[in-house]
Amino acid sequence: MSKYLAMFSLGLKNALEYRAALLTWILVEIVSLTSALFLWTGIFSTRDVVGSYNYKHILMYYFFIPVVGSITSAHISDKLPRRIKDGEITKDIIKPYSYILGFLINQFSIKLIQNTIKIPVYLVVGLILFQRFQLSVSPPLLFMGFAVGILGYVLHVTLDTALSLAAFWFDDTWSLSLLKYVSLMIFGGLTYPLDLIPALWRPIFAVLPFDLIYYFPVSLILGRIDPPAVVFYLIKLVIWTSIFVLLIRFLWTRGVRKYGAYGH
Amino acid sequence: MVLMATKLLRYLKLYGHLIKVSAMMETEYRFSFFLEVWVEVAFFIATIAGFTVIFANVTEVAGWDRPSMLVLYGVNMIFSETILGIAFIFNLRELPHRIITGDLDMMLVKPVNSLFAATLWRPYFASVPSALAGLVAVVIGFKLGDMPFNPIHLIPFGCLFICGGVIAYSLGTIISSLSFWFLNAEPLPFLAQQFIFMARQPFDIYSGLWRAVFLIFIPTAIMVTYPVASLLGKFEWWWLGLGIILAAVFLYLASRVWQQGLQRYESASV
Repeated sequence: MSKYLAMFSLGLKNALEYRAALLTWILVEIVSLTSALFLWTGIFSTRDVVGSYNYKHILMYYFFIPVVGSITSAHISDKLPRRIKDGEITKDIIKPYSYILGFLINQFSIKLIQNTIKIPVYLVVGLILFQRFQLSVSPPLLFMGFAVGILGYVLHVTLDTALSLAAFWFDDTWSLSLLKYVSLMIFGGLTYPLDLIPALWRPIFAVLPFDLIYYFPVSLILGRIDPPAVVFYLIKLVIWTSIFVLLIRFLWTRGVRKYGAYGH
Repeated sequence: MVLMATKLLRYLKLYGHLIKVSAMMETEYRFSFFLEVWVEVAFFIATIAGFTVIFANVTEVAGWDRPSMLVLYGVNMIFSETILGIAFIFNLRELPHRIITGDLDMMLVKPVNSLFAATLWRPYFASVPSALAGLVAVVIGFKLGDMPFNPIHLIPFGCLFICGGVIAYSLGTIISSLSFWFLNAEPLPFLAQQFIFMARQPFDIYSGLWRAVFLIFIPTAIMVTYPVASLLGKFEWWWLGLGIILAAVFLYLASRVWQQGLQRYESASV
C-alpha cells in the first residue's frame, strides 16, 4: 500500500510543476466553449427552441461539458502506449507491484491537482454565465451528476487503458488515442447534445459507451433524463466497465508475454 | 525591389525542397501515412456530424443555409489543414519544447531567417490529402444548393484566402512565441489553434462589439467567411483592402514579437 501512496505523492508533485501548462489548457477549453456558445447564440437569435432545447438549456449544456470533463476525462492513451513502445515499462514490470495500478494512481493524483486549479476557474466562469443569463440548476441533480461523473471517469480510464495496451501489438497507437477523441466528439456529446441527433442514428449511440462519459452526467445535471433512462445508463455503465476491465487483464497478460525490449 | 524578389524566390525554392523532403519522410512508412490522413479525415467527419445534427433541427444559421454552410465547412477544412500543415504540426507545436530544451539553437544556426526556420521548416505533407476532403465538401455544397460557380470568383477568393493564411500564421506565431516568456506553457500553440478553429463559424453569428473583435483583433472573418462569401459571388472590395492591411500588420507584429522573444532566449547549455 505504501508504494502506491508514494506513487500518488509523486504524481501530485509532478502535476504542481506544470501549473502554467495547465492554465493554458484551461484557456484552450474556455476558448472552445466560447466558440460553441457564439454559434448557438447565433442559432437562437432567430428561434426560441431547437429540438427540445431552449437557449438557457444549451448554454448550460456547453458550460457543463468541460466541467464534467474535468472529472471524467482521461489521458492514459496519450502516455501509456509510448511507454510500452519505448521500453520504459521494462524496469517496472519486474518490480513487486501492479504496473497498471501504479500508473493509474499516478494519473489520478495528477488529475486531483489539475482539478484544484480548474475548479476555481470554472466556478468564476459559471458565476458570470449564470448571473448574466439567469441560469439555475438543482443542487441534488448537480450532486448526482458529479457522482455519475466519477463512475464515468472509471469507465473512461478502463476504456483508455484497454486501448493503450494495443501498443504491445501495434506500432501506431497514437492514432487510437485520436480516434477515441473523435468517437467522443461524435458519440459522446462533446460536440452536440445527443438528443438532437436524427432518430435513425439513436440505436447505434445507445449501444456504444461514449455517451456515458459526457452526455449522461451533463444531461443528468440538467434534469433531462427520466428515472428509467437513468437506470438504463447505469446498467450500461456497469456492463461496459466490466468488459473493459476483463479486456485489460487479458491484454496485459498476453502483452507482457509477448513484450520484448532492446538495450534495457 | 530586385533584391527582395531574389530573396523571395530563394525562399520559395528552399520551401519547395522542404516540401519534397517532408513528403519523402512521411510516405516512407505508407501505413503510418495513411493512418495520419485517416485521422485528419476522421476529425472532419466529426465536424460534419456536428453540422448534420444542427441542420437536422434548423434550416439556417445566421442567414447561412445548409449548402452554403457545407461550402463554409469545406473551405474551413482546406484552410485549417493548410495552416496546420504549413506552420503548426511540426513547427509551432514544437516551439515551446525547443525553447525549454535548447533545441531551438539548431534552427537559429541555419543560414536563413530564424522565423522561417523555426515556424516553416517542416511542412506536414498528410495535410494535402486531408484538405481534399474539404474540397469534396465544397463541391457537394455547390451541387446541393444548385449554386452557380463562376471561376472568376476564384480571384478574390484566392487573395482573401492568402491574406487569411498570413493572418492565421502570424497569430499562431505571436501566441506560440509567448513561450519565450512563459517557459512551461507548452500548450500555447494549441491555444492559437483554437482561435483558428473559430473561423469555422460564419462571421454573421457575432453581433455588437464582438463583430469588431472577430474582424480586427482575431480576424476569423478574413480567414474563412469572406473568402467563402466571395466564392458564392458576394465579394465586397473593402474586404480585400482590409485583408491586405491586417495581413501586413499581423505579420509585422509576429516578426516583432519573435525578435523580442529571441532576445530573451538563453538556450539550455546541455
